[in-house]
This record gives sequence, C-alpha cells and structure tokens, in this order.
Amino acid sequence: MRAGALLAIGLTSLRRNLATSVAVIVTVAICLTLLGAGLLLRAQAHTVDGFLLDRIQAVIDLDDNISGAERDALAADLRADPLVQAVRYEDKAQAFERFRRDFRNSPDIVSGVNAADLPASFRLTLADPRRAGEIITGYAGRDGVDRVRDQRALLAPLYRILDACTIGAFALAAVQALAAFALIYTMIRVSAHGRRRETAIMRLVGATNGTIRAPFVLESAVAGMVGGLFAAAALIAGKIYLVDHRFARQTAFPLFGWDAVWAAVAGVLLVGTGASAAMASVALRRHLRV
Amino acid sequence: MIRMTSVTKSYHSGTRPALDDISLEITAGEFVFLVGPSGSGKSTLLRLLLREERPTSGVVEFAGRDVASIPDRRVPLLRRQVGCVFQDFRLLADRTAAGNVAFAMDVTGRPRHVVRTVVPEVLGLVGLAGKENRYPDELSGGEQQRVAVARALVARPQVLLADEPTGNLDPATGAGIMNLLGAINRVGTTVVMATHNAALVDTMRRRVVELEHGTLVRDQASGGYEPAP
Repeated sequence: MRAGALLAIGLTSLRRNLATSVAVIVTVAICLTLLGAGLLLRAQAHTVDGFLLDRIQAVIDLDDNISGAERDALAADLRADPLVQAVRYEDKAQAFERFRRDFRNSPDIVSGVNAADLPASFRLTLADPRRAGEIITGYAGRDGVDRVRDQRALLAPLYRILDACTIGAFALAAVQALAAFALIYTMIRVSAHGRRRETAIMRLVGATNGTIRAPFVLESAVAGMVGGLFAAAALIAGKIYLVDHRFARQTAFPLFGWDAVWAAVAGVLLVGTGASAAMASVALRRHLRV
Repeated sequence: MIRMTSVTKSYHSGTRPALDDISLEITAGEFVFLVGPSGSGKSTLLRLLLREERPTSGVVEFAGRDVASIPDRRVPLLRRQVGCVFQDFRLLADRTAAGNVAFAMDVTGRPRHVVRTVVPEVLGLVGLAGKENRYPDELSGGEQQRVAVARALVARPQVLLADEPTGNLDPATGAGIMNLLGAINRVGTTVVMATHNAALVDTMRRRVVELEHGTLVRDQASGGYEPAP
C-alpha cells in the first residue's frame, strides 16, 4: 500500500476518534514525561558521580597533638600506598581559608569559627575512589589521626534521594503505561468497529493482513509520537526552568546538561512511538479479523 | 477453473450441514446461476470459494489448487483472482465512485499512476462515465451496484462471484446489471451468480445449479429457474 494512502486512512481514523485519541495522547504524554524525568534523574546521579570521582578525596583529619615525626611517617606511608594517587597537606590556616570560601554565602557560620577550630589534614586523591573504605580501615586509629572521612559518603543522602525519585518516576511511568495500554486497546476497538466495513472490503479485494492492520498501527503510533513530543517539550521546559534558571546558581554539585536531555527526548520519542504501535498490534489480534 | 469434490460444510456439530456432499465443476469462461431457497447453502458455497470458510470435508479447488490448504498469507492473492459483488453493494459512503474503486487498488498496492488510468476506464466500462465524482448516496441502486462491479473488476479477476446482485434492484435495473455481468462473461471472466430472480434466470438460459437444504438437486445446462416439468 502506498505510504500516502496509508497515512490518509490512519489520520482520518485518528480524527474520527478524536476524544479517544486525545485521551491516549495525554496519557502517553504523562507516562513518557515521567519516564523522561526518571532518565534525567539517572543522568543527574551519573553527573554527580562523575563530579565526585573527579574531585572528592578522602580526608585524614589530624589530631591537634600530632608530632612532626608522626606526621612525616604518615605522609611517607600515604605516598607509598598504591591506593593513593596524590597527597596534599592542608594546615589549619589553609583549612580555615577553604572553609571561608565554601561557606561564603553564610557569614554567620564563618564568624563563629576560627582557624584553631579546624583540624589540619591530609587530603588524598585516590587511585580508585570507590575503595575509600580501605583507606578508612587502614588509617583510622593510627597515632595522630583524629578521623578518616570519605567525602563521597557525605553525599549518600543525595544519592538516596536521587535513587528514590528515579524509582518513583519509573514506577509511576509503569502505572501510566498500563493506563495508556488500556486506552490504546479501547481506541483500537472503537476504531476497528468504526471501520469494520472498510476492513471487510479490504479483505474481499485481497489486501494483505499487513495492509489491513497498518492504518491501525499507524494511528496508534502517531498518537504515541504526539504524546512523545509533548513529553519532550515538558523535559526541555524542565531543563530550562529548573536547571538553567531555578538551580543555576547552586554550586554544591553540577547538574545534567543538554546531552542528557536530548538522549531522554530521543528515548521517550522512540518508546512512545514503538510501544504504542506494539500495543496496537496486541489489541488488533483481539479485535480485527483478517 | 473451480472444482468441488464431496464438499460438506457444517457450522455446528449435530445440526444439518450447510452444504452436504457437493461435487461440482465449473470451467473457465462459464456463466453459472446458483439457485435455491434461502438457507439452501448458496452463500456458503461462495464463501468457500473466497476462503472465508473452510470445508468440513471434501476439497474445493481453484485453478488446480486446494483452496483450504492455501497458507493464510497467500489468501489475499486468491481473493485478487476472485472478484465478488453483493446484494448490499458494500460501498464506502465517504468515498466517491472513483474513490471506492481506487480504494481497492490502493489497498492492494497498485501504483498511483496505474490507479489514475484504470479507474476511469473501468467506470466507463460499467456505464458510469461522467459519474466518477458522485458519492454513493448520489447514485441510484443500479449505479451503486455498477460501482461495486467496477471495484471487483479492477484486479482483473478470473472469476466473478455475485451474491444476489440484483436483490435490491427493480426488475429493469436488475436486467441492466445482468447485461453487464453477461458482457463481463463474454470477454472471458467466469461468473457464478447466486440469485432468487427467476425472470433473469429464465431469460438468460445459462447453466443452472440448484441447491436445496445444502444438497445439489439440479445441475442443468441452459436451464430455467424452475426445473423443467
């Protein structure tokens, strides 16, 4: 069948079942927006991950009473440790400078602290930051060591929130996908009933099964794609509003970029079109005799 | 062209079969009337030829091929060789005469330039030149049936099955459709026509196959609607 003739039949059918088509488009759009949001939250987790792996080091806070010999021995051990890529010593004054820089937006906090309150430390760049636990067990409790901190662990709550939001978004998307399937099923049933005369004629004149089914699948795929376009618009709007404006000035960790958005947009458009067509094919088995 | 050997078709076990042990051969180029009261099995016989149904037992052959054994994906090819028209015309109300005929070509994958050439030709052939752009509700019953015949002919079928094609038409219009089917038959298309129209059968004097309660009770060359006394 010619593409033009096929498209004409599919679009006419969409227009005739306008109310059902709109319901399908809205449901698919919500489902795909949630799916896209889940994908972007995952991208955000990866972005934070990459940032932490690049930047954050394990920190060995030193006891104020540490002797010079103990400190030198510790430094020598750290430099010899294969887990440690680089070691930097930060004295109390430098620690205070960094503290003032990190909390420059909170002068009340800075005014309550002075250099003596902050420990000197060894700041470590690790060969593999995921093995920070081994550093902690290896150096905690040594003479002159106050405590060993894995900076990455500090962000565990953030990871937990991102993970929970991602799972939540995917779960809601799955529920919406069920609703979308029910609606597409109904749309195909209504459409097959409305076009039963047409499909009967198609069968009689020798149209192939594929040709008879194609307009229905196309109708559903177009509805899915339009839903996908709305979802894509929502994701782009979300990126512009939240990432580029609302949270543009926060510096705790970087936010996902446009590459993640385009990947999510491509994902929702593909899933929207493909899954809607597949759902229509399933519904056709039940409602269209060929 | 068409051969039925001991064909029986039962819809529900325990009830009388719709067709009971029918054997029949129709050669290429024949014109055959299928007569008999309602429920005698005429439509079932046509449905078997179209592979709308499969026989419960026996063999239905078309052009030397067992119709029941044709794989599902090849059935559309069979239906392109067997055109059909019905009492209720089965036209699409939202398409013009030309649109209805073009639809049959579009959905069987014929190129646009072929559709543009063939549709007016075929409509002219069935006597509808100048009425290509009329919608079914702007055409008389006879004209609607002519559109249906044109739609059946565009695929150049070897056989045309007609199930009560004059059933909804007045006698004069019915005679017009009959003449059209006669003309189609004269150029080589085999025509099998189920009908209750005694006057037409009596006038045409063609082969008559009569069914009663699913059994073949008469197969007569140049017969009338009623068996000769």
